[in-house]
Parts: sequence; C-alpha cells; structure tokens
Amino acid sequence: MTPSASSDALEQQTLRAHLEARLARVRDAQPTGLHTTRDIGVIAVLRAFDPATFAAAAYHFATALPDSQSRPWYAAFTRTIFLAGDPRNLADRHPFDHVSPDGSIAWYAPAPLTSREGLRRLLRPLRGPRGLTAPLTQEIPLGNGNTMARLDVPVTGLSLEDYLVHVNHVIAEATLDGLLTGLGHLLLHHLPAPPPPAANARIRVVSDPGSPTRLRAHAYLTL
Amino acid sequence: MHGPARRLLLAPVTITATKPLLPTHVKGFLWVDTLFRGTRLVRDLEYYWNPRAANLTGQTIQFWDYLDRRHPELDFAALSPDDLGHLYVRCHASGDIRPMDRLRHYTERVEREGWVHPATRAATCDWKRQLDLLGVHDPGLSADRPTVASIDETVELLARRHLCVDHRRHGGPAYLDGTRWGMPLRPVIGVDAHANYLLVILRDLIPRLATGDEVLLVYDEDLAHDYALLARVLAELGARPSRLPLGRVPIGGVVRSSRHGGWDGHSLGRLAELCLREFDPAVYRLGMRLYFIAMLKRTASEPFRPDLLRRALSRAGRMLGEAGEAGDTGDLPAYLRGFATPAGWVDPYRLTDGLFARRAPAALLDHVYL
Repeated sequence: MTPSASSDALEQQTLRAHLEARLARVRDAQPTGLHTTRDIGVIAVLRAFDPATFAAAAYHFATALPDSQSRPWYAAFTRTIFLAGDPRNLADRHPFDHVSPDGSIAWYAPAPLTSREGLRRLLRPLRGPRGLTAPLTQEIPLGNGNTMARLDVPVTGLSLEDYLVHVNHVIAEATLDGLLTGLGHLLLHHLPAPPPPAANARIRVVSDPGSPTRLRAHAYLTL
Repeated sequence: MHGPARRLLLAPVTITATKPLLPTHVKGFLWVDTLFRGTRLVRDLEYYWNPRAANLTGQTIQFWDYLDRRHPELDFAALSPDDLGHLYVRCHASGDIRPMDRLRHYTERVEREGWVHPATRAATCDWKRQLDLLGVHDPGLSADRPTVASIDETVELLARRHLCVDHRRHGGPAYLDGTRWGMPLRPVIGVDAHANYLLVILRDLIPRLATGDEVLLVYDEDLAHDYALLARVLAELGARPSRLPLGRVPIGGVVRSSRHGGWDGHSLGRLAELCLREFDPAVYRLGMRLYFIAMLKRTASEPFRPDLLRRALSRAGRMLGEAGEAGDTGDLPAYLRGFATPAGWVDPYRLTDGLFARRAPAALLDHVYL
C-alpha cells in the first residue's frame, strides 16, 4: 500500500467512525413506546444569508429548545428544511419560534412537517447554486466563556442549500449534546479544500455522491 | 398627489408577435379597444402598450434564436403570418430551445436598442394591417418604449418595501413576495438570471404610476394568480388597480395557448377575408365587436362558432341600417357614464350588449364601434 493509499484508508476509517457515532447518538434519542419521529422537522426561512448570522441563529435556536422538542428532533436526525422567504411577511399568518436579531432568518420549532404544509406551500426551497467564497473567517459570539470552538467548512463546489444543511446539522447536534455550552466564540472558517487531519469533536459525514462506497466530510468541528 | 379627476392607465398584457392574430387575441384587442374608446370620452385615460414587454419574454427570444439557428435563410417579409405561426408551434413542440442564460445577447439587444427580430417585425406589420381593417386603435404596436427602470432598480425598490426576496447574490432566484396576503412566492428572476414577464411589467408600470393613479390591468384569465399578486403589489406602492380578466376563446372545443397549435383557418386575416367577401367594412367592424364582446362574453365558456359570427354580422348590418345620422357627441358622455364600472371605466360587455336591446345614440357607433 502506498502512503497516500494508506492515509486515504485511514481517513475513510475516521469518517466511518464519526458516521457511526452519530447514528448511535440518534438511536439513543429515539423515544420508547409507540411514538414516531419520522415526520418531525424544523423549518428555517431565509430572506438573506450571511455565514455568521446563520451559524449564530442555528446555535441560538437549538440552545433555546426544551428537551421535549429537541429530543424528537435529534431522533429525526435534526432534519431541517430551508426555505426562501421573508420572516417580516410571515409573522402574522405563520408566527415563528425564533428569529435572528437582524430579522433575516426565522425558525419554526420541531413539529410534524405535515402541520407545516401551509407555510411550505407559500414558500420555495432555498436555492443558491453559486455557493460561497473561500477563504473566509468569521468570529461568532456564543456566550460569556473564554474558550473557542472552530468550524471548518470546505466550500468549493458546495451550493448554498447544501452548505446550510451541513453546517446546521453540526451546530444543532453539537449544541444539543452540550459541546458548545459555556464557550465564548465559534470561529467559522470557509476553506477551498478539506483541512488537514485533526482531533475533531465532530465531522459532518455523508456518502460520496460520486462513489457510494466512500464517505465524504463536509464540516469539521474542533473544540 | 392628483386631484379628484384621476388619470387611468389602461395596461393590457402584451402579446408576443410571433404568430398571426387568433380569436383569443382578437377578443382581447376588441374588448380593450371598446373600453378605451368608450372611456376616453368620459375621463382622462392612457392606453399603454409596450412591445418590449413581449419581446423580452423567454418564449419570444427562444423562438428568435430557433429561427436564426434553424431557418437563417427565411425572408420573413415574404412569409405568411400563418406560416410563421406554424414555425412558432414547431419550435415549442420540438424542445429545440436553448436555455435563457445562453441567449443573453438577444435580451441585451432589446434592452439596449429596442431591437426587434425581422420575424416579429413582419408579424407586427400584419397585425397592424389587420387591426386597422377592424378599426382598432393602434396603441403603439411598433413603437419603441425603453423601459425606464432597470431590473436591479426595480428589485431594490420592491425589496425595500418587503415585496421581493432576492437571492441572486448566491446565484438563486428573485421572488415577488405576496406572502403577507397568503399568496405564494412567485419567481420573477430564475437561476438563469432571466427576468420573466411579471418583472418587465413592474419595471414598466411602477415609474409610470404616481400615488393615487388608477391602473386597469387586462389579462388572460389563465394569468389570474399573477395578476392578483401584481395588483396587490401596485396597490402597496400607492396605485389604485382594478382588473379585467378575459377568458381565451376555445377553438374546436379546446382552450389552449397559440403555441400549441390547433388554430389553422382561424387567423384574423382569414376571418377578415371571409367576412369582407360578404359584408362591407363597417358591418365587419361592428359585427366582430358584437360577436367577440357581447356573444362570447368575458369568460372562456363559449367556443368560437362561425355560424354565430355570421349571425352577429347580419345583426350589425341591420343595426347600421337603422342607425340615424351620427350627430354631435352631446349626450354621448352621459350615456357612456351609465355603463361605467365602480372603478370608473366603461364596461365593454354591458355597453355592447346594450346595442341589442335599445337604440343607442347614433354617435356611439361612430365613436366607439366603427
């Protein structure tokens, strides 16, 4: 085996471990009894997008959820649907549960998605095929602590809609697992390519669309 | 702000000159012409038609591109309008159309210099000839009216009023936002960066409307959702809109857009030829109005029926025979006011239907129908 082949195998192994750890956490969150979380989801409505505003909103929304809402959501893989829309026009007919301080992103708490059909019919799935720029670094205040977490996102070739999915899963699940509690800041990095290996607390892993037997990393959280 | 006698802007949806005039278009032109000529005798009115609105649509530009690629040899001035219409049908049926982001050079030429493809220039000439024969006022079918506001200016203005969600920065669409009224987001600029007809209408109308101005939107019933949203947006910007939806005229029992074909033998040129063989031009003008306005009515429920058109022409002949001398218009404005809608424009249906029931002022036929 060449060194690069062996490092690739190692990397795939690491990614698989992250994926399996996530599946285990989701299983642990499953409710006992007859309840199902299959249809549970969150809806986020974006008028505009800015990386820091979005990351902060994802954190503050998740952190404010009571257990009774966050557990079923976690068990449903923190499923979130991102829609284009203007929260200012929705407040009357479809009051939301959380909104970013600048009013650009509204969040609807975990609920059966069938109960949100009216809202979904009104809006459109968010689309941003041009994607994002790298490099970019933004510091996002989380709380009063002195320590900092770091989120690296390789953005080359990533559409805005996919970016939102990946970043939101990592932030939401880390928040609900208490990993970000007591931290002062989150340092958000957009990179052109995946970062070098590090001891990551979380890696967002999905199967590689070009090669289904392989895994691919999309966001790296380091504490 | 204007005084109590507010101006009315009459703004029908424009039709793309890529085919002959067909019964649905004839109905639209006759309704709007009667409305315009009746209303202008009772109040200040502007009939606004901008060919650029139709020339900037994807349907038109994709057809121009198709012609340039597939039929570069054609002499459009020598091509019959029906044959052009057949090419239009073939183009849209073939799927041989290129995405709008590859056709920006056409859009830019229309925007920059008001350029019109020779095929559309030829079709417009035919339309003008046919409408002239029918006594229809030309609202500027071949006029060049540069759009005052740019796409960016219009989107920014709408976004400031929370009427637009603009995701173009990320390569996404821009939407007209009527969600506060429970109306779904309506894309007006696609991911191909092409602005659709709704945005062109807004670019055109917004700078023309002062606060309090009235605007009458006339459109194809199929566009009801878009026009309901458009009216709300214009009202939010300070105008006072009213709406007149018109149903398409079904041919052979089918209601469909002209780009799907099925209209052979029904072009206005062909109808004129048949009618004028038997009836004189004044009878043709009045009879066509009796048929397309009073007999077909506003909705799309009645199919086109040549036998009923013939009956309308015979009736028009009798009406013209019985009409007295067209004197001055003295009592005409008062008579027309009796047919005004609450929004202040003369209702073409009630006015025309009234011709069957009673003796109208002789000047009415002269000023509105002939």
